[in-house]
Amino acid sequence: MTALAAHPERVRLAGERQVTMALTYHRLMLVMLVFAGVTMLIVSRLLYLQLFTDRSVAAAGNPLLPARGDLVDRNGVALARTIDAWSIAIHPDKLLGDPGELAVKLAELMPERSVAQYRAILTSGKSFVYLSRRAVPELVSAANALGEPAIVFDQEPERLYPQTALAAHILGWTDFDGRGVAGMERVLDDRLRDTATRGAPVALSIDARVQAVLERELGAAMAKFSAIGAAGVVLDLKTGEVMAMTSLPQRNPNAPGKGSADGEFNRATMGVYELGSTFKPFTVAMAMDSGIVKSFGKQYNCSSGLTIGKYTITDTHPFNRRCSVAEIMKESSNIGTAQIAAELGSARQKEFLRKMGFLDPVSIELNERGRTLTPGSDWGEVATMTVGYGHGIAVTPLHLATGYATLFNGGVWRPATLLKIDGRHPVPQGRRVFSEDTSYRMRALLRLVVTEGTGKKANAPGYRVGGKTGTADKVSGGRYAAASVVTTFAGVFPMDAPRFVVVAMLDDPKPTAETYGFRTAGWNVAPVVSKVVARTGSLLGIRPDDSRDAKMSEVLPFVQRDGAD
Amino acid sequence: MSARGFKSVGWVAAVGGAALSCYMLSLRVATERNELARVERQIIAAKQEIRALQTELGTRGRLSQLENWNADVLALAAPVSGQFLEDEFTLASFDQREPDFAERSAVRLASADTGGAAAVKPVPAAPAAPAVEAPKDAAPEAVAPPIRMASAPAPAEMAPALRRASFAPAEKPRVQARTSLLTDAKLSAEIGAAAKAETKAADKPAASKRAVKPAIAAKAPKLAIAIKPARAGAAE
Repeated sequence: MTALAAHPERVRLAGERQVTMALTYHRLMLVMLVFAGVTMLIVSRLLYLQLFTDRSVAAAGNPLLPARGDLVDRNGVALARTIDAWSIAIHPDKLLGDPGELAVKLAELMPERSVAQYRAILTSGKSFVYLSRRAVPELVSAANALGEPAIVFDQEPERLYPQTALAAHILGWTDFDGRGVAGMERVLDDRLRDTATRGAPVALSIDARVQAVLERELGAAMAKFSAIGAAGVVLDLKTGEVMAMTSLPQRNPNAPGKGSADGEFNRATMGVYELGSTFKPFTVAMAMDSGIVKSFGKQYNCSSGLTIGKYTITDTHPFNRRCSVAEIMKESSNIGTAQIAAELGSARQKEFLRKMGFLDPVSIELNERGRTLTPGSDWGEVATMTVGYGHGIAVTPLHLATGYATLFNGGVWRPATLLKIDGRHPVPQGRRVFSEDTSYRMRALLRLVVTEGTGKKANAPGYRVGGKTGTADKVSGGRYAAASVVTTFAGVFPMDAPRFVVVAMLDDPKPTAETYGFRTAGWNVAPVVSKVVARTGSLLGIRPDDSRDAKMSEVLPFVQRDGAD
Repeated sequence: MSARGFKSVGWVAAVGGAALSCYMLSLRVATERNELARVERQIIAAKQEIRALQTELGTRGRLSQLENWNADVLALAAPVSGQFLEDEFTLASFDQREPDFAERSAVRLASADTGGAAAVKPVPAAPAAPAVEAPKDAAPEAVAPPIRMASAPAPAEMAPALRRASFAPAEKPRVQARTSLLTDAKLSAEIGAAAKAETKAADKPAASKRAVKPAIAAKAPKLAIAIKPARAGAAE
């Protein structure tokens, strides 16, 4: 029964056998095809890679392309570079060794943290902690010799400022992600990061040598007179290029996190100060341009005090007689300048100041720019007079430098620039403020201040320095603080063919025995300009020459020589 | 029969040989290409190293560091206006040595072989010949310094003065002494000490500088070479 029952099944099997076999072959074939197909795919891909991959160096991306573009000075000296720096980090959760022992060794290698701090890091159980960024190779190999597998080393791009704190306010700095957060690093951020442009270094207008001298001399004066800050600008008055600009104190951009908050404040472009008598040449030039002062011999009444309403304008060295325009400038007379300004009137004064850019934030690439303070709607006669000698208006030292550049380059205002002027960055079109004649005649007047007037200590033999001193009481809390002053010297050299403006400013200098108790600009900041000019003049291409000078015959006849002075 | 059998073997050998040589060729090409890539990588590595070294050098020789050395250790000062010379005649006027007999005589012209005539002729034309009372032993010192500080941009015209100076018999030992002076650690330490004393007496820099200069000169008489031009220039 069972056999009978089994038989037809077997017959059926025999019938299906061929079908099953065919199916098996089918499947086998399919698998083989799949295998062959995959193999073909791999082979063709290999062939493709072999044939069509460009294995030359160029295709692999330019390894010489820095992660961020370089900043160089006008002569190609590197000011900011990106290097591959070693960083040392640790994975505390993967620690194999004894944390206590390792903490002691780490504290020996990197003493910036204590043993207890290292132990806290090692036992924290965090997944990743930086032990040291920007480590020197010696430290890296020493840390490697500790033999702890949880310590990892990595090379990552780091921004390095080879000149350390030089021009820190101009350069600015970057954050840990390599983005510029201040100065030109911030302004040029896109250009420095763009793959297409970062290969070529960006040339700034500054000359590192001049910058170093300016910082050195200003720093020395700042220390000598216990000033709380200082600012300086050297400007090419023909092109508006900033040759050097500094604000002290400054912080080292290599370690931007360390340093005082004051070091972040750019006094040259952000700080606005009443710059005092350095404004007087502007007032005289405005009056000459407006036809009010036709000769430096024009007389004004310079008696002991000038009373306007409830204010009385006084002089430190009163003439107590009539005086000429040349004498007003030479002895820095407030009374005389106030009268010239009053003749000029507020409308014309305001218009000249507007054309010189003194009513707007200073024109430069930096973002760190301060708003100027002006009399605003209260620009009456008293304000006109005080603005005439630099009080009641607060501008930045860079404003002053561009103003002097305007006055002595033939009368054309141009914005200051921190980018080198060359084929790609031409000299900007200026706007005329003063006539060429006024510009020319002012030369002798300012030279007179240095040869015979208040700025004698600014003279640098052979470099024909001209300029004007300025001492202004410092405004603090809305009042003039009699105890502190801001002293400024704005100089131009060489006066017979002006090329450069030098502005130096000291914030709150104290009198010393050497200055006989004086703290006026002629005593503390004028020598800075003298030293800067004497040291950088030849670097800037000015040859000292004792046989040349401005045309002094224009002013000397109008200076009365009295035996007392 | 046998020829036919060998024919196929021959074919196989020929095809195999051809394939092998083709393969060898491509292998050779690949080797060369790899070599080229390796050299290119080396060039890149070298360029990267140059950049790293330049950065390191720039950082070590940063301007603030140089400034410290110049001002505090070497006590250098900026050249004053009198040290810049107008032209080669001003330079020649520093030569106050009286030409000796051999130089004045015509025989000297014949013996100067390299452009000798041109070299010697301008000497009598030097405008400062009348300084007869100049002591003879001071002569080489008075000749050489202007050359060191001269930034006058006319080397061709300067050549006579230079060449003439080399005739002085005392020239060679003096130059050697000066180089050894630069490498003398003791002396540079002394200069450093003198400079420190100078910065301490900072109230009147000009006066103290005058005081320091003779001190250095007394310790190392050869240094007078470096100091003299400043005085000579200032006097001009």
